[in-house]
Amino acid sequence: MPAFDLREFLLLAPEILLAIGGLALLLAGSVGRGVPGRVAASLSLFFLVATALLVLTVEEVGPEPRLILGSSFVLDGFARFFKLVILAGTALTVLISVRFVDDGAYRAGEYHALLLLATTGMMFMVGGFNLVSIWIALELMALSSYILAGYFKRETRSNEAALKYFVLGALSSAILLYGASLLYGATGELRLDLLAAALPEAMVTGRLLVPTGWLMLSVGLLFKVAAVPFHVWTPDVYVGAPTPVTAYLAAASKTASFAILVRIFVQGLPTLLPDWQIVIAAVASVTMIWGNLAALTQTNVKRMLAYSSIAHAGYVLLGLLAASVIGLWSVAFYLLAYTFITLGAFAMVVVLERREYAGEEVSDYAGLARRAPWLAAAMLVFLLALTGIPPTGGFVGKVYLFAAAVEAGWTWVAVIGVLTSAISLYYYFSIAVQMYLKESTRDTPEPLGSPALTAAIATCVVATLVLGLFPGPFIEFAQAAGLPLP
Amino acid sequence: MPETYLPVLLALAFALILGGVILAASGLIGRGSGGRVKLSPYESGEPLLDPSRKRISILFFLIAIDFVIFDVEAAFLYPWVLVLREGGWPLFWSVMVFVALILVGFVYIWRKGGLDLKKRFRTRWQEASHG
Amino acid sequence: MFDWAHTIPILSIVCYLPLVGAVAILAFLRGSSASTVRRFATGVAGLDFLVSLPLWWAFQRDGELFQFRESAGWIEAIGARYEFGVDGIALLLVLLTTFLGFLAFLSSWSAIQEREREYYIFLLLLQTGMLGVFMSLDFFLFYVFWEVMLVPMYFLIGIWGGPRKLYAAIKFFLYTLVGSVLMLLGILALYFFNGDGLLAWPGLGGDATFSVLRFHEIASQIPPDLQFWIFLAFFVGFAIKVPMIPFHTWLPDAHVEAPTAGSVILAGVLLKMGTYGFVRFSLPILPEATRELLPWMIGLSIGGILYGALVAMAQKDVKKLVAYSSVSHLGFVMLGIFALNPAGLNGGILQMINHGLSTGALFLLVGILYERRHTRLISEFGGLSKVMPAYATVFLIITMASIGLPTLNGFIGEFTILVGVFERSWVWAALAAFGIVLGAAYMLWMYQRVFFGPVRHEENQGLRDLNGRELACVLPLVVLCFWIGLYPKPFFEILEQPVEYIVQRVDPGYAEALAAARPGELPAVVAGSGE
Repeated sequence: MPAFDLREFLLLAPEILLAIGGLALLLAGSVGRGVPGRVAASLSLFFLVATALLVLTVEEVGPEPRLILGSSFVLDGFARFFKLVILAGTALTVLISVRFVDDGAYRAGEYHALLLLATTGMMFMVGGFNLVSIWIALELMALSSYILAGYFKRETRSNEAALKYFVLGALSSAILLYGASLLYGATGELRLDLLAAALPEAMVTGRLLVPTGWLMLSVGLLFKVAAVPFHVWTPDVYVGAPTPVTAYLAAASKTASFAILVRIFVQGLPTLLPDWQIVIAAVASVTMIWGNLAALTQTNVKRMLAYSSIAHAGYVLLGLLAASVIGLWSVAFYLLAYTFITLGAFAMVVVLERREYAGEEVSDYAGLARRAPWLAAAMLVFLLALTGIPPTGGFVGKVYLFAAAVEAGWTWVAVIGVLTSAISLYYYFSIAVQMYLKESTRDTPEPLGSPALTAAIATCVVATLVLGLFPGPFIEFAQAAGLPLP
Repeated sequence: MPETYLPVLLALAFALILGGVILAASGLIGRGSGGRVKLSPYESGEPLLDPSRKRISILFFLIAIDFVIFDVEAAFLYPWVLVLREGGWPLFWSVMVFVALILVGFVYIWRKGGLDLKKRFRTRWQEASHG
Repeated sequence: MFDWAHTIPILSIVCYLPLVGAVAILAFLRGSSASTVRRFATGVAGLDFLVSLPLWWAFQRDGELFQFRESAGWIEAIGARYEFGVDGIALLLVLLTTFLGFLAFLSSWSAIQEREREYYIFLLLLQTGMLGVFMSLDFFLFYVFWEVMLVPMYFLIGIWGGPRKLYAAIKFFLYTLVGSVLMLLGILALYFFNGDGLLAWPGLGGDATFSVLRFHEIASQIPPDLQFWIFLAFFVGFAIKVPMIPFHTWLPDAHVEAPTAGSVILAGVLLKMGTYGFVRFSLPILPEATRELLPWMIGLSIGGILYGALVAMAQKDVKKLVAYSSVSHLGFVMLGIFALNPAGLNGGILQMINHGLSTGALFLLVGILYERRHTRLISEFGGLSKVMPAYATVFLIITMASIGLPTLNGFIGEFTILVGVFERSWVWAALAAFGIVLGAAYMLWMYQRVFFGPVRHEENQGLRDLNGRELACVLPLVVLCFWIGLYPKPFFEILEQPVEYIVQRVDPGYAEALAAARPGELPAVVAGSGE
């Protein structure tokens, strides 16, 4: 007999619905001529919204986390918050994908199916409460992402992206799994809370097993969030992948990876807190420094945003580093804001880019303020938010993260954080310089919008500004994502 | 317990030593014979018709991959059969969901022409991506 | 007569009127001609000035320290509130901002010929940002305005600036941003000190706050080493803005490259934010650190005075000369403030206003000349007093104001500062006074080379004198210079209370000594300023 009540499956209705949606689109997309792009996009939007509604209704969480399905998964505010953020990110990705799917000449159904399946994986990830269930969900996300990254089958760069992503991703997954197995070997537990309880004793009896195990686990996780020195795959993958996919990787995928990083460290390894804090402090510092310095020299917008996303991983690590209530809230809030900001910025890349990777240079933004003032203003908002200048969500998020670090006594890391974000102004504003201070030439690509794209950009702008001007309700929303701390 | 692995270690060592000894002995004792003709590759006693390192269709590779996927997943069904009665309906339906998922994958491969050996991928969407 | 000003949220109106104007231009004046936009924007700025004027009369000199208070919840989760309010110091700066802002708009009519719609939008946004900085009584809100203001200024320099505008714009932005992010860490440190860490977080049931007045109250409890670090963090932020040496290098670039209106606002208002920051935050919140670091502050101030003056003397470009004179004058302001006594502070704050008026006017005048000749090199001019008599007259008055000739405003400010400084140390006062001499030297020398002698360049023969609009820009400034120079009493009156308050905070010993020396003469506010 199963060790749990099968009715608990009902509590996973959102994930199940999303998986069914993905499978349905997969089948529909492979039958006959497939489904037209717009239909596929509408269907996947429908599934995403329905899933979000189910998350809001079915997964009603009480004050106490609820373990389901033999403690494989947990229903708590943390999971709920991140599920909603991920769904929002995916929905925006669907919107900015419309044009790309339309003129990409690849089947729309499969594209959207992969997106939905990857999202399903993310939802399971953030709800996972067991190293194995987390890992399997991670693989579902990762495998779907590898294919998405190589979606331009006939572009060498896309192939390169997919291959690099696959090889390095598989390596990191393997390391992660190996780390998990070592911890299992030392403690005999896979459940995060039991693992935490068994660790103190295992640290004595297991000798090297525990440090090796958690270090490998950390390497695998830091790899997924693209923290320096495990970031080398990021620029090539981000540049080679189709831009909507890049946006998805930078926003949703990173959010989900951060969620499990936080959950595993805080709930699974609280005993090792002083140890991993040192590691995280070091990684956060070099990530912020290197991510920003490397971005300084980039002339390709996608590559610049790739390095910027590395740098932002460093900032988010500050919240984890603090390992405090505020720290976790700040991580949650920042990832919420970051999802909208990043997707908005990449949506702008989509507006200007052409087939075969044209229109991705910083100089292609020249004179945008004159030709498309509203789009330029939108991009300016995203750039300000990425830099962390008010009145944007990026500012409030960064203040929150720095506050967490200062409060926890990690002032020197916070100092690195503020100085590097001042540096980041330089490269973000190289785009603003082009938009506002330079004149367009004959070769400058015309902005090419579509209603869906406009809707996505407008949503992101409004969200970024609202998060900056009236963040109150959202901070409270993010506070629901707290985890019990050691 | 490490010591329980001792037989494995011994067996491994024995295999390595035996193989090494046989090879070394035949090399030392045996007479070299035949030369070029003996070393040339042949198939069933016939000389080769074309080089052995030729390119083969990726299709075989894909078929092999498909086979491995379904084969491995089918392996899960054996233990299920053994505990089917104890598991009852919940277990039955769980496995049905599992089979359904595999079925979706199967239909997908089928519709994409992954099982279609003759047409060699000349399907419509491929043409579409060219144009 | 102006009591109604207390019943409406007048500060918010003054602050957001330009923002509303900017949005209106964006939304409603899309297809309008440049001249409509120009008139509309100038009208908004003028209206804003008119709306801000009643503050001067409605402000009760002997009333509460901070008046026209507005208070509302904003981000409850972290305890940031929407708090507006002005004391005498902020009031003067608010009026200076609306006034100079209006003049800046007026002066842009002929100077700005391209992308005018965007120009006026940015200028209006800048107004809102600057006003918000002076009005905020919540540190978080203050910081938001402080940074928001950088963006329009960046574009003003970057789009409408001179040849090296890109470099100047990004340099300006980077310098000030580095300063302000460090300041942010200082703010956070204060925030957590006040709230005793985690318990402060309102989300956890605490009552954390960014309230500036609250920070004033707890000033004496902050341990000295913490004060020291926070002071350094604030110092970087404010000193870059002032700018004090060695953080001044962005200023000449920004000033020279900025369009005239940009320079006017930059010199007139933006620089005052740094000094205002010291007065409002560093001194009252971190008194011990202030006293401890006093020699350094004084040294940097005097260094700034002398260095700025010497470098100004070597300049070939009028605008650059005026820019370096700002470094020198702001050094005076800082010196006055760090005298930490009423005379010094009064003088320092008044000198902030004076500098805004006279340097603003100088930039306007240089801009007018530049529009006519498209050069600012001193060697390109000479003998202009014959060609442009009215211009030369106004320029002379402003030059004198800048030097500190009695009957003009500069004299009052500098004299009061010197009185304050002398009280601390005669050596400092002597060094500072030497700066005045240098100031007179470079200003007069420049004036002589530009206006006197024969007209050496053909092109200068037919230069037009001031027209009506230009006169309208400059004359109010001249009038104000005379007003402050001849009858500064209203200004000192309005400053008296806040200055006493700050002295009481930063140097309680001074106030006590004063009370002992002159029993019964102390204003009630000092005795009862503990709130």
